Amino acid sequence: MILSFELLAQAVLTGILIGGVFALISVGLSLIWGVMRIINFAHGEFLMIGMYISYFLTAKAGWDPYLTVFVTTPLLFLVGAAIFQVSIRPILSHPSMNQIMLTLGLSLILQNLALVIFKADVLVTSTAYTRMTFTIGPVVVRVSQLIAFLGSGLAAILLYWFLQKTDIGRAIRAAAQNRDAAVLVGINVRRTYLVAFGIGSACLGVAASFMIPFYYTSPTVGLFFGLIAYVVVVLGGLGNFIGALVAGLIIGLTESVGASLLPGSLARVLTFGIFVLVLLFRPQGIFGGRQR
Amino acid sequence: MKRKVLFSILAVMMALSMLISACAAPPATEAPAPTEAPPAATEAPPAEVEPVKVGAMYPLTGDLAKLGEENKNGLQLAIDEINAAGGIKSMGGAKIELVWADSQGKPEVGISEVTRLVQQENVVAIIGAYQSGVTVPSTQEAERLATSFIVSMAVSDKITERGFKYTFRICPKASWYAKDQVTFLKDLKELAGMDIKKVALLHEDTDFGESTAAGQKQYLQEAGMEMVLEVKYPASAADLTTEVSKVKAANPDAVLTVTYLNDSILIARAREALGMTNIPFVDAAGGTVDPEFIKQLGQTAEGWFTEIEYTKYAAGAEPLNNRYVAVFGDDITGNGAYAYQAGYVIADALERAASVDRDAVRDALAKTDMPSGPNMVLPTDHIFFDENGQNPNAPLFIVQVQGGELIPVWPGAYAAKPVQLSK
Repeated sequence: MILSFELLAQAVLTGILIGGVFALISVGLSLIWGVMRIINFAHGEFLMIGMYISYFLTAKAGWDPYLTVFVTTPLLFLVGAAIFQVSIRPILSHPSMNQIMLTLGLSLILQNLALVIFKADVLVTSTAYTRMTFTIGPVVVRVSQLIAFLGSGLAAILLYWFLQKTDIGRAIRAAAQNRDAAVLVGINVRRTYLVAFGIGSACLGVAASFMIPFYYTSPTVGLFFGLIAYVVVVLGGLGNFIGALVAGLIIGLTESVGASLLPGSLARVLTFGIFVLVLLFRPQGIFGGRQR
Repeated sequence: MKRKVLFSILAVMMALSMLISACAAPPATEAPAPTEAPPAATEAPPAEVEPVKVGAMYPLTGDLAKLGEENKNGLQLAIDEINAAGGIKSMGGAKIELVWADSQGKPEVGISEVTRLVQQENVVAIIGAYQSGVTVPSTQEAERLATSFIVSMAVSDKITERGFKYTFRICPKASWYAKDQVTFLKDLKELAGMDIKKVALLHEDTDFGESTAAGQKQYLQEAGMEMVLEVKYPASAADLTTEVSKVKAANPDAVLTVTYLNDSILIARAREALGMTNIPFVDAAGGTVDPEFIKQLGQTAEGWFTEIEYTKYAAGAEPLNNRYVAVFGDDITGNGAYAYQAGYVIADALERAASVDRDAVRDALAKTDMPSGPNMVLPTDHIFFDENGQNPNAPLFIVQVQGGELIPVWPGAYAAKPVQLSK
């Protein structure tokens, strides 16, 4: 079909808004990889945990969905830190295959635990923001998605500032650049890893709270977002903070504009096609090697 | 580098596993909820007349146990009523004894249970089996053993398209979901003065969506309506605003959808956000029939149309529903109502056959013609079986979300309230 300007404009806007959320989710994954060279395959499941927490606070306890961010973020930090302490830290020096298997196992455990506790039901809640919209010319803007985009952007900026300007942030970047040198200059690398893993997980708490007004949650909701995060992180360059942000927007646009041009799952082929092409021809990501 | 390779392999594996799990996801209406089914409570027959044994097979344990129980309860209610009213009069008041079989939702178990029912239990006929996957091989086994198999519920088209002599299906075929959607659109002119000419299709792209959409296209063409656009999407999509925008840009008079629950939620929200509530959206009994669709969307769900097999709100449905609720506590579902009807169909055939000879029962079933009444609760004037054993009069209900309930608005004679269209 002919792609009208209106449709394209709508697809671009939707893509950018959802891409902002992809970006925040991916930044967390990228940070964890950048600091301790671990790919957390349970990343999507952490998001799922955050979404359940936010859902119950909003739907059952009557909270404003955006207030839940002050609960989900610290809680996800603690969940991430606890899981790191118990299961990931002991195998930090093990072969990477073991680490991959461990986080993959964690992902399956969390998914199935959620299935047992919450059942397979898809849960959504209609908040005060869910049905708000406004139009710019021919384009409809959903307020909940706009807030999610802005909130994700703000969280990413705060995180960037934190990494650049605070002592812990500098320690995290130092440990990422050279673990041994960081130890030599007196940085407590173990604690730094713990904090980095917690922060990477906390990003998901933020994303979860902002998604609840327009998205559903279910035990398998993390599968899709986890997968998107891997694609984004590879596209942006493993461990590259700014790269992950830009790549998040690119993937959001690809999904959305792709869906307006191509039928059905072909749009998904486009997304993962980019993933494969990047791995084949530019494995360091489109934004070059690791930058900090 | 090695890590990167590992990472890539794992990521691709994750992608594949996600696709597979998405494909394998059952429709929302068949959400697994394993419960232990209690053993059947069949009444002891009176000493003077031998009871007539009828086999009944549904998934009574496993993922589909809850849905199997709906079938079981409906059938049990009918047989209890028939026995209480004096059993089969032409056979000296013989009671019907249900011999239960548990398919466990597995085709191979279905086949072996059919063999057991026929060869060891010596039943005159079998009723079942809810799932198409079990019903297809089970009816084949029943055909081989020359024993009638009454399909109360299982919608795969081919069940009654194989030229079998012993298979009789009461419920609609899968393709009729599309047919009734289109007929409803045509009838909207009469029901609401809305002349539907241009129709857009919006559906998820697994076999469920694709096969239903194929039927929609065929029936739209036959009805002389134009399909202006077909939009397919993966049910796991993060956002469907773009897809719904595409539909809006095509400016259709109505939209036919095929959905699971999660995507129906995204579509309903996008439809509202994009200001398309004046366009009727008619779903093919997908995610929209899940109670969660209304419960969780609230106002956003209002006005949606979907299809269901049975509803307590249909004209004349209340007495049956009340009897069902009195025994089992819940409202009767489509599964329960069709199983209930199957009980009366076999009783009717036995009454006319006046024999436990399987071929006599088969011939009586083939001549079934039950008019609407206390023994025939389906929303049609009469049911019978065509030469393929299919009951041609098994219309679905079109229901509309009105005030948080699924209210039947079609077929006209069984509507509880008129269609509501927002301007």
